[in-house]
Amino acid sequence: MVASKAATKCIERIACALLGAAVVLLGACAAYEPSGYPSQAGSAQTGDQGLEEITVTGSRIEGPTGNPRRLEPRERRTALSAVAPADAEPAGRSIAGMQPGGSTLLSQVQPGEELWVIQTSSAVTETEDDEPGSGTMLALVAREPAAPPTEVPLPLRHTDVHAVVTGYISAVDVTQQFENPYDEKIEAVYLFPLPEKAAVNEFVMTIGDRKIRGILREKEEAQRIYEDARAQGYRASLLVQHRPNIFEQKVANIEPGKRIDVNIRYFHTLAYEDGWYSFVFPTVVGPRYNPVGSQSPVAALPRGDVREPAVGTAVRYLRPSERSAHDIGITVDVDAGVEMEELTASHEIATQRDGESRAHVTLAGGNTIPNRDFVLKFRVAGETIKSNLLTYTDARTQEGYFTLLVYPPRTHNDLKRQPLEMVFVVDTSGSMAGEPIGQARDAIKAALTRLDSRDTFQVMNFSSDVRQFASRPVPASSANVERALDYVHRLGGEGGTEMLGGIRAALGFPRDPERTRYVTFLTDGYIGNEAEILGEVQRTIGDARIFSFGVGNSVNRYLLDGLATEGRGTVAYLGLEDSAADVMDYYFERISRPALTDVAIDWNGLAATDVYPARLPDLFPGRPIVVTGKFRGIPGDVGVRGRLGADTVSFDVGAARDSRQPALRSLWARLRIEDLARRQTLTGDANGALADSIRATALEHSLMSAYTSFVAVDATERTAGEHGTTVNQAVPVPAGVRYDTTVSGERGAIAER
Amino acid sequence: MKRGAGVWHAVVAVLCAATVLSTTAQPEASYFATVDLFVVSDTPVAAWQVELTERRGAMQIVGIERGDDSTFRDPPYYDRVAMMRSSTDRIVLASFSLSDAARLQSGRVRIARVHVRMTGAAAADYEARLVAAGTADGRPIDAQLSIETQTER
Amino acid sequence: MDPTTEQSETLPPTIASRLRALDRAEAIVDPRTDRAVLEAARAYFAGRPAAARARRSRWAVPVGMAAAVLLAAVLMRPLVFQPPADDVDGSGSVDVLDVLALARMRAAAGDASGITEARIEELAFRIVALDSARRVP
Repeated sequence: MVASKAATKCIERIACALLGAAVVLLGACAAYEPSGYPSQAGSAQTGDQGLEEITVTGSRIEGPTGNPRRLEPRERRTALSAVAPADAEPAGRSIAGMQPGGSTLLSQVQPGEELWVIQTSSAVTETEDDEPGSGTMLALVAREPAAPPTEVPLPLRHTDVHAVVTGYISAVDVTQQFENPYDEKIEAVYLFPLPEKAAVNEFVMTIGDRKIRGILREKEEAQRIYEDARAQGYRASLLVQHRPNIFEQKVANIEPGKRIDVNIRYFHTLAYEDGWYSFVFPTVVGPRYNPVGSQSPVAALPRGDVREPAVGTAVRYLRPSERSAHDIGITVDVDAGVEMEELTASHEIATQRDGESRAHVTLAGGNTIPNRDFVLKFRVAGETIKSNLLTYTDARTQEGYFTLLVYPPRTHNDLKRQPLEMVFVVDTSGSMAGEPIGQARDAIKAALTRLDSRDTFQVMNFSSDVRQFASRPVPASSANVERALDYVHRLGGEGGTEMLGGIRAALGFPRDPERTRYVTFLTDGYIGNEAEILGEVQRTIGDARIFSFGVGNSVNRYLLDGLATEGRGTVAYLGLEDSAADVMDYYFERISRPALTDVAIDWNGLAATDVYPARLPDLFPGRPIVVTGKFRGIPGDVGVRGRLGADTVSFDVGAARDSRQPALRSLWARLRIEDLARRQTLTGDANGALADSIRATALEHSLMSAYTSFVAVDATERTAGEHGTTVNQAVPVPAGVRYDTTVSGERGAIAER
Repeated sequence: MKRGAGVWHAVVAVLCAATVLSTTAQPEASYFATVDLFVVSDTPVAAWQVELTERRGAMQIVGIERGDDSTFRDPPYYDRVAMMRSSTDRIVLASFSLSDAARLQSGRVRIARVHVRMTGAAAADYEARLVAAGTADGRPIDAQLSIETQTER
Repeated sequence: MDPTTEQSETLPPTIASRLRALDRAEAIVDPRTDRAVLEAARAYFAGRPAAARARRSRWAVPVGMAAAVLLAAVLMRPLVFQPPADDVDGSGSVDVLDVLALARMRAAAGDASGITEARIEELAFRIVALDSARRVP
């Protein structure tokens, strides 16, 4: 009895000791803050950076731009030491003793209190904070707005794009050249766009003349391999997909002065419209607005901002006074397969023709700043384009893939004008300020003047909230149109981008049974919650159609194409140099006279499966429907039918043609992944069976996806030293977009890691 | 009652300690290595096909690189789908060159390099087999294969 | 093996036959079949005595039928008497040397060879496939 009592007491004491130790240890972990909030003065160092004014409020410091941010240890020490030497006796409150060993004012500042330190010297010198040192990125450099842009050292030197276009399929090689301009090892991180339907299936890391092909793996596994290699000092690269059109490249252990290239290859299809094919290469991710609660936001931060979002990712932007050395080179080899009558581009180009159907196009020198999408258009001759069925059979698996292109009649003169219920929904957020909102206004005005007595209309605008012209759609009388023109004229651009509210407002009110509702969205698409938006459209579209206008030079094509796909409508892009009236006139003419509605395909023995899009859009003059799928059996004569007004019409596509293009397989797989991702959005099944299907499809076809990533490691040798500083490649804001309304302001919250 | 409280304290303490330890637990150690494949032949080689096996089955391919002759298809062919598995025990590589025989190499020629990640501390156990090798005009030749591994831990 | 028929060799037999009918491909007749048919014809027209004719005719019919069946099989399935399509060099195995053979043919004749880069890549990836179901036999 006595022994057991003693044992019990012993156990109690041990238990208490262990509990106490555990609590202490946990507390120590929680309290450890590598960055070090200023709880006491650090050792003084001679600083080389002058700040005009800093305010220390316990644990946060506001810099000269007024944006609250954490001051990094070196910055803080530099700022404090630059204020005054130890023996200075400025008037007012003494700051003597701000050195190690002395009693310090800083150590007495409590959270919630403020200590103002004002330096009268206005000298702003070059800061050595442009070099990596303590594991953080650069400090801000204040410049006069009128001064010429200052080149800031960043690792991405050049992007080289080489595209080979065959018919309507392009194979594109993108090579990013990373070079370390610092005297320490770095990891370069770069967020960049690719076309939203790009099927990325090759990844090669080049070091000197050595090429190491990367391997596609499940995302988490690839991340583990990369982090392992990075930690152990090996050169490695990792490609991750954040969105279908936003990717992140990481390159680890780039030694000082050394270069590592990363090559990515993808396939995608060209858009076709009224005889014109369009090849698009996006160059920069536009700054996104992320509503509170966004699942996977893309934050827009200024260069040098070291905050890492707890969720999603961030793009760093150069200030208007800054530029990097990064430039871009683009060459496109076109083989249209038929006579090519004309070639135009968004940039200045040099063109070499090789016969009637081929051309070699190069981006002209002096036009290489990557701040707007590169768009190359070529027009093919007259009546050469007809509906056709292309097939490809994989000899390895014996599976057949097809692409069916259904072309409408070229003219719309014999098509009947339909009465419309036009709902204009225009983005009036901050990113639209300036030229974009001007373009949107002009486009709406052009459409309003095309309406006639058969039509009704409504105008809605959204930024931080949603407003509308009238309580419900009104007849397109002269008086109503006049009032609407005045309403539109007064629209501006400021505030957030609560597009979901706009979607709900546009699709939420009762349908007019006498008219087809066309919801015309005009937006740059700079939002971070695309999945939510597209899911809402999927659920509520009903019989309406969505006509999405991308306004600006670097719009979110993934969102805009997605809106048109979910809405069984179409998309148009209105660049800042385009005539808004001409573009709107063109599309208005077509949507008011569709070539075919309620389109269906008669497969006639083709045994088509996994067909995308599952819901076929309407057929408009000049715009084909592209249907991709798998097949078994013998491809016979495929037919198309639909409604033309009150009549049902049908026509044959013709015999199948073996394209011998394995790209059809990759393109089909990419569409399947896209469709599965859309279904995920609708069902909210983020990690279930749909995710498994995406993963399996991506691995089987060697494609990037939200669940698969490419990784490459050079295991020949370890680089010396620690794994180095992470340098986020900053990019320019897209041309025409204002930096101050999209980046430097607090556009949406960012929860930090 | 006291005994019960003591036991409860012990349980809580053990759980706390386990939580702390689990957050600081280290993942299984891994290391990176390269495997260089060499073909030895008096006759210049224009095409080769090799099977590399790692008997422990813990080989994770993290990069594929061609050999010393830049006229060969770069990088070599390999089963991309199989390589996506978390780990594999073998890989088949192949490549060819359309150069004239006079420009091709003979002797001991490095034909490919495989970058691997191995988990665990045990050394890898490789075996390589030359499936086929041929001359510029397509004739099969009798050649030898050797491998060299390099690990920097 | 005729590389221009490679693409058709990988199609299902019914498709291959229809394509051939369209192409009016020339039939390849095995010499033994040819001889059998010729002998049967000679025997028929030789004017031999009835008994001999009867004796020969006893064999002539089955030989003729066999010849006809063989001829039909050859017309419909020329692969029966030819090596697998992927064994380009006829070595009896399919490996990188077959890929090299295809590549050399394409290099020599370009598009006129009927061999595409895609075909070369396909065979190359098949010879390195680890999955036995996807391996080239």
